[in-house]
Amino acid sequence: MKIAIVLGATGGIGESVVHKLIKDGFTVIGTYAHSANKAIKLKEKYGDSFEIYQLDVSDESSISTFLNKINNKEINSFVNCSGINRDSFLFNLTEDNWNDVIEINLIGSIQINIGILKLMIKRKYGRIVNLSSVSGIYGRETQVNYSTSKGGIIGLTQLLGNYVGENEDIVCTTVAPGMIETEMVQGVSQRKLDLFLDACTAKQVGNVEHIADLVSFLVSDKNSYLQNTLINVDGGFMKC
Amino acid sequence: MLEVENAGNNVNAYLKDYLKNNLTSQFIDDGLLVNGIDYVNENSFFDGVSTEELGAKLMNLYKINKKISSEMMKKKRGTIVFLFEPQLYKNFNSGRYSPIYNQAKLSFMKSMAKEFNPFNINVLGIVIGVNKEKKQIEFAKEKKLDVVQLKLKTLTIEQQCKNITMIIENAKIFRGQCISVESNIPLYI
Repeated sequence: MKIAIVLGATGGIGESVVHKLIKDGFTVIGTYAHSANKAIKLKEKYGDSFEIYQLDVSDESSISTFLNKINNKEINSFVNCSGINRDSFLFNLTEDNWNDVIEINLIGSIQINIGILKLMIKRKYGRIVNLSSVSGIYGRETQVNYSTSKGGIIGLTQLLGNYVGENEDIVCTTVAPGMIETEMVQGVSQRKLDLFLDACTAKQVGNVEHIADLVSFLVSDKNSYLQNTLINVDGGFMKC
Repeated sequence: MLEVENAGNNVNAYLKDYLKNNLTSQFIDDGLLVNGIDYVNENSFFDGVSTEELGAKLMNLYKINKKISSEMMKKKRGTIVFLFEPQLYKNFNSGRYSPIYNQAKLSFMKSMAKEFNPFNINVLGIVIGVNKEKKQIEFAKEKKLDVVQLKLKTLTIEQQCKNITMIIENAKIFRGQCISVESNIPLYI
């Protein structure tokens, strides 16, 4: 039985990744922060192929509890889709909004990634995919907090990849989605959206399946050499 | 106004003095903030060391840049520089291997550059080179840097500061970019 953990399973991209991985034959352990109703619906939909736990990545004890729950499981793959945004220009950005985004998107992710990597090292096998963002690569106005956290995620994958030994079949990659049709993007102003599309070769917003299909490959045995790689899934943003 | 963050670090302290003595006074009058070289021992996270220091350093980055950029916005001029150290040190000095902090700082710089361009504030990154310091020279001699450039030359701190000063004096044309003071050593190899 192949087991995959999906952090942020009730989010737009997370749910699509869960769906794809179950289709690929994985048993998925998902986590959610607040959307309990959505979590129940997912459990009803996928039955025995799916377990779900509440996990607050900004709370160390919640992380420890979760890591203890999965400690004896043979984890094949880990996909980190968790993330929040609190957009504001820097001069207006409050300390709380800085801290929330950094704690949830980055600091919590570091602790979970390291915990899961250690389990994978015991088995000498694993696939880790962390979701960053084009905002982490190019930066974006009103997103200094989000962009910093997602940039840190790119560095996190470097750190993990560097720690893995030569004889361990563990591959760590980062995926940087561009504008993907999710709840998060629904809050983006039309002007910003138009600017993005204008600078995008595909001239359209991506959908969650674009990400899920790539993740499906990255967590499979077919992926053995995309080590420490950052892959943009952005329809050719800034490349036209 | 000239602020160099983390001036406890040798390179940052040297740079602060060098800039005071050599930078065109106009830049100091307009306001110059240098977010100096800094790192967190990120390999220690695997030994159970808390991520608290990383969170605190990122919080400090946010606070100091918010405070000083707000002052610069009122005057509609100023320069904010972020210094980066190439992540070459994983092989001989794990205490300085800090990819998360450095990459986060780079993304922070890029977002700031976009926000502050309309206020005529220069925001840019500078990657320092390999220093003429014992461990780094040894590293270069082992030819491990041949992957970057054959026979890569190491620079003294003074030579590096001279190059940094030159870049700062031309900051307007480097807005939003990350420039290396010598050969193009990537932040990560």
